[in-house]
Amino acid sequence: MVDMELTAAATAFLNEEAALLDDHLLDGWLGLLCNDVRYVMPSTAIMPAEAADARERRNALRWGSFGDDDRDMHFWLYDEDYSSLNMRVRRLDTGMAHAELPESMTNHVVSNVIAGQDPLDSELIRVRSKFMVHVVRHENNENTFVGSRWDKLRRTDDGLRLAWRYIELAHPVLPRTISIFF
Amino acid sequence: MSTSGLQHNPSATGLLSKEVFSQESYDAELANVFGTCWLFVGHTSMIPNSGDYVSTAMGEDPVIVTRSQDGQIHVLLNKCRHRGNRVCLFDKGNSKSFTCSYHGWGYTTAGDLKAVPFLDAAYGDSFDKSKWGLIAAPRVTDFHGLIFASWVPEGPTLREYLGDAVWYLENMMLDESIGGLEVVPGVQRYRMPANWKLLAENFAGDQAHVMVTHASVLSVRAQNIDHKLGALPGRDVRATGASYGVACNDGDGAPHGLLEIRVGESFYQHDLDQAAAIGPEAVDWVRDRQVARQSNMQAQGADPVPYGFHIGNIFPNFSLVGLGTALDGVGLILWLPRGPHETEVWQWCAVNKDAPDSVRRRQREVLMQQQSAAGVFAPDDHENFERLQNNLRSTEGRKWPFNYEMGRDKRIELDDPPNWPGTVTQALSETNQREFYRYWGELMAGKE
Repeated sequence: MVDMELTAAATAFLNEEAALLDDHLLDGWLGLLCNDVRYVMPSTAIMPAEAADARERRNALRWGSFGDDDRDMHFWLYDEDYSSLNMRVRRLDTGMAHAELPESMTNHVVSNVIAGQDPLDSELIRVRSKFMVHVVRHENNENTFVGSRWDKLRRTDDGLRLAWRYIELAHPVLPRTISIFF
Repeated sequence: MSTSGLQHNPSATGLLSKEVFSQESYDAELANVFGTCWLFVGHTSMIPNSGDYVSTAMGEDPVIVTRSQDGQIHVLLNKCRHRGNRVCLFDKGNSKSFTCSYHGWGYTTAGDLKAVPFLDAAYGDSFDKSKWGLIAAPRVTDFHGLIFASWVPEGPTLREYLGDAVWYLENMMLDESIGGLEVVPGVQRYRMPANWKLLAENFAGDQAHVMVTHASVLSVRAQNIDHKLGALPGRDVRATGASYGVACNDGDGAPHGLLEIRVGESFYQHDLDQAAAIGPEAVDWVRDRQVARQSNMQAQGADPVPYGFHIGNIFPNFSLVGLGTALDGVGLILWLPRGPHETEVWQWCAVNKDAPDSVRRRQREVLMQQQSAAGVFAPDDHENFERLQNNLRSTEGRKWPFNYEMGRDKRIELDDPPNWPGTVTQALSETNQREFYRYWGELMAGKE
């Protein structure tokens, strides 16, 4: 499924997105999202090895197919649409959101990008990537979030836009609460 | 602890010595508090079937909460009796046994030792397998689905320990009259660089921080830009209702603090409006819920009948979140001690078992968006706790006590106080925090 041309385009998109997040240009970041975006981040659990069919179901979930086991009734970390992401950005804009006062110094490092055509929808491309986000609060409170993303980017007249993002953090216990985006 | 815990009782002075947060206090409280109190360890809906288990913790000790083949619930120390290795490595699952990866000692889900490699070849007749099962909490009680355990074999029953809190839990927080709660899959776990007591006392009674710490949420709530955040009662709704704090077992016994117990038609109307945007089934459910809860609490003589609760803490380290609305899931939070300067927070989300799926989904969304690891509330608390914990590492800062005088000398008398169990106070008070440290001090001083 890897397509070199799509991978280059997706990498450029993800790098631009990371720059907007690191520069705290969050309205610009919102501009990269589709109006019908879904942005989800489950909690990480340590579970017994899954049978092959369970692994397949998990993979389908990562690409947005929920199936009949009602995964979206799970207690996740993020399950956002455009409205709630916009609300979160507006909250940071109030100047009273202490978690981001002063703003966190973040460095989103994006890597291992693999992109290909979505098999179900000609307008979408599927993109896998890895990230490390280094977060500094105050003088020296430093944390690093590490994880993987499963994105669906939609081809639009304005360029690629994020339609689906599934974030899997590699932290069964998070190093801190989360007031940033991945 | 070098000095008696009772000397730190802020009920007498309104002041709290920072020795309460020292390494010495920490070492002692693991035994005196976490070794003696009833502790929340899980919910029955996490382990519905025989062989189901979930890994949680009591204080610093990892435990496995199991349902054995006969359907009984057990709370087992997750430590092999041979060399102390963890025997259960997973957050949850279903198993017939737990086998240690070091020498292969194997245990049933009831904790009984059943397999010892080389038993015949290398152990004599004096080895008694029945004496080497996993250490089990001697008392385990299922309270309407909440599982509590205690390491001490005797003492107050769970109901006695909960005391005044029983009424609130049964009738208002756990919704027993309308089918009860179940926990949805998934647990959030995160580190908070603060002493566990500062987090527990916040949930027991800190009304005053809401308007400052969470000013951004109240501000963006007023802009009405997201339907999920709309579930939170806005300023207009809160202005026409009343809101109280409750000190359970005030002055005698385990202090459980409840915050913002809400009274008023406006909260109900607000939920009806929110439900209308979900669908007719949600409106019906909110209405049925109100009728059932009202008649249940009225029959018990409650005057007025409370509509909902915002947050509360069951001593020592179990908090519940309700956000004062029927459309929020109930957050179940454990503040696990990880040293004097660190807490590991575990949070689950419970929803109404018998509510329509659309309501259950909304309850989950609202809790996730608001009081949760990446919610709009907790990260702002995190920031404050991180900064103030640094004060406890400061040589000069440590010398000066914390102030808990709010609502001590100046009580705004309630015109027509509710007749509910416990001491009902105005919401703006540090009564519940003083009570928290009153009992903590008694336990540290060795009082049973």
